[in-house]
Amino acid sequence: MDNHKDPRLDNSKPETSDRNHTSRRSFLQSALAVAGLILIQELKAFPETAVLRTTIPAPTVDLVHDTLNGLAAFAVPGPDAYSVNQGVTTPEPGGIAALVAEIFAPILDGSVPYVPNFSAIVAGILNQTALAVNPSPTGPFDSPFANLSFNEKVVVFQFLDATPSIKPIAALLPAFAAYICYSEASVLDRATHTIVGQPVGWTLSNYEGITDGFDEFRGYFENRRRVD
Amino acid sequence: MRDVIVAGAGGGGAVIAKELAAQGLNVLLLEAGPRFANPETDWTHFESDANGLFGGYFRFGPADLSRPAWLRDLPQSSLFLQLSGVGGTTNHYQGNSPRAMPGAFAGYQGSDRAAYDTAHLFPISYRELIPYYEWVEQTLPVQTAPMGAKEDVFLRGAQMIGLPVQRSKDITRAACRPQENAVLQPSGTAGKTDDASRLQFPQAKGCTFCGHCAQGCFLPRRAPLNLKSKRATSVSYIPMALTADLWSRCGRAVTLITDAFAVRVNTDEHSDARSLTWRIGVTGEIFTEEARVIVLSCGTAETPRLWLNSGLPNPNGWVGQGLTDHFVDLVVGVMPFYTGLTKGTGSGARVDFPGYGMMEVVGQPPGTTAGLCSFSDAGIAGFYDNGLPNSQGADTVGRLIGRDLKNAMSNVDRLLYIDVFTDDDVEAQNRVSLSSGVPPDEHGAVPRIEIQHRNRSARTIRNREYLVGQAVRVLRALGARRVHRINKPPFVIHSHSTMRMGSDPDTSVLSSNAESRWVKRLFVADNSALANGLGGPNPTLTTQALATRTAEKIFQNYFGGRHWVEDSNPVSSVDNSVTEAVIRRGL
Repeated sequence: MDNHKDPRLDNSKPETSDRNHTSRRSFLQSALAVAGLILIQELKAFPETAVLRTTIPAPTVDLVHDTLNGLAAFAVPGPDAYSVNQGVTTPEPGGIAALVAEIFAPILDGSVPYVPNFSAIVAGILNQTALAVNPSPTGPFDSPFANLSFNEKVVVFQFLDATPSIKPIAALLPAFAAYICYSEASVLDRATHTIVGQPVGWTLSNYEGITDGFDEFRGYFENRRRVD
Repeated sequence: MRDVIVAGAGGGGAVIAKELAAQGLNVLLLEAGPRFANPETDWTHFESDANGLFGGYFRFGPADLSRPAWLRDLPQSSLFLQLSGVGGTTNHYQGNSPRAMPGAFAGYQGSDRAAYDTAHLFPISYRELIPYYEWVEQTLPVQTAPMGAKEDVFLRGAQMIGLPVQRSKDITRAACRPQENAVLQPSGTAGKTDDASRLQFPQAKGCTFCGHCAQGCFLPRRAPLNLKSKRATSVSYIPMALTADLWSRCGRAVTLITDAFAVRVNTDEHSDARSLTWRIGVTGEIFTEEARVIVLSCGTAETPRLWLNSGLPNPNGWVGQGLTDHFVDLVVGVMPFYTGLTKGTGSGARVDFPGYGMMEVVGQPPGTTAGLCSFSDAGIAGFYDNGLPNSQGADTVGRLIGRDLKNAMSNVDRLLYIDVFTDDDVEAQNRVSLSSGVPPDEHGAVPRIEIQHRNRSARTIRNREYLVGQAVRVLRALGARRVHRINKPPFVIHSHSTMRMGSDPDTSVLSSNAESRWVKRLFVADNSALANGLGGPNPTLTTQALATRTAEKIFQNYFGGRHWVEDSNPVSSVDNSVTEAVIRRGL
């Protein structure tokens, strides 16, 4: 992987960050020079199914939660502490308020039932990669990934994307985080099939909510109810 | 001994079971997943309740949601969306029921005949399949989709870029049209009110425009099971199969066993299929029963898995090979006006591009919309592209993350969401085999689904880029404020041809009758039997038409019966005789 050749990384506009004073270009150069090659070698050492077998020490539940919170804020930022720390915030709530981490951890654990604590393995991959991108991230969280800036988190995913054995999680993690955030998962009572509050994602997306039907019928195209 | 055992009660198995039961055969239908007998009480409109890949009631797994889902080995970034249970994947499909591209069949003489995957055509002609299309179209029934706002907008955009309107069921040229879909047209209050209390049967009939096709259609409430709006086989063919003795003059009701996972096909001394072994999930009990004919309809991953786990012959290596998935992509427009993305039928309008594929406007709830906007093979939009920079005129390529995602999702009913389905080539490298990396489960070695996403044929890649360009043009013509190309990894919502029928014995598993070339009395009647990806159109109708034809071949060749499709008219699944039978049997 050669990040220096990606023109959009080199020329991208500055983020309106309140803590990330390092330009994206200079960050990438320093991070890659110091840690990138080491990380790539480490990740290349993973066998193709390493995601399922890796021996990265299992983080604690709190560390898993912290790491997934860093992912939630990355996918859907808000005004929360994780978003503030990454330097990309929005006034409206985001993935933290939608309890993405709380929902996502058991989903990850259930997704590979023959590997105990799969969420801890995922968190370990994110944190190990985070330390390679920035060996000394500053922030209040236990998770190195959660302590990264938004741009540094992007680089973490660029590494994951470039590593065949763990590439699948690079595509799936943000998608699941976004899905959970914009669905009603955080307020769904599965036992009663009801929701116990207004889902964050419904508010964010101006979704009118579920119902048995809408006054939406606009007739038939060219007034034809059947083909010729 | 049974006459026929069918493994899998999804989009294809339900059809062949119903058709043979209507002719009076003794049919046993096995389904690995749940019964889904009471959709009105068991299902909801909540996407995280229904569609959670591992915990939703629509998943590939056992009925007991406290037990883990059944695993597949997916060695690439991908989602392979299938569900177990009666009705199979038709429970979450959108009901779109177009016919295939005629150019995907043998004998096609159109001037564009070289534009298709000519090495892997269907071994039968398109004309031969038409009576079976018509039979299924009347049985489901398939009707012209009504318009909601998103369909109205999409078709306007398609016409703005110069596309004509297709007014026949057969695809004859590049053109736009309302979907022909298996969703009952609205009548009464359906589609005319937001008031749920006024949307109960019989005050409302047909589609109520709720926007929840993918969560399972159980509307209108209080409608008999066979009069629910979306025509999943769980509400159309299955009720007919279970009541065949009541509505068919010579019919015999199918025996349905759920929670019954087929684990082995057994052969006799002549290497003919003789019996099927299955495992009951709750108890772990193993059963074996003999039949004169066995039909596999377990899906494009599980049918080759069952074949391979049974140790059946595979002399040319094509069992599991040749998976086509329409190389799906997504183009999203942020529009300056209301589109009603979350309302109405799942997809009520489409454009077909013969030789290239098709695209359709799609609606769904916000979680699914956001998740799929963040699911890309092309990195993170605005930052890096994983070597896939081609935007085809879109403003961004890749996952929408952070503020980009929030901006796009700020009003979900102002998005226009166009799914692209490519006419992709049959390629041996895309395949289902048995996994050595994931441990076997209680049903044996699990399927490994390999898709060489970055190594498709030149024609396949060209087709997809062309279709994405057309989708961008539509959105630009409509005045989109932002256009995002997602460039998805394998997002397998259409899968086909892993047990393909073909005219060349070196590259096919099934004969033109959908019977195994090497194990007699063994047939396949799901998407895996398809010879190719149909040129891009949604596959379910073609699989159902082919399953109907296969039922006739079985009846003629092994039971001395006559064909019936050309000599009679089908009973519609919404016919009063079926409704009365459903009520009488307490379904």
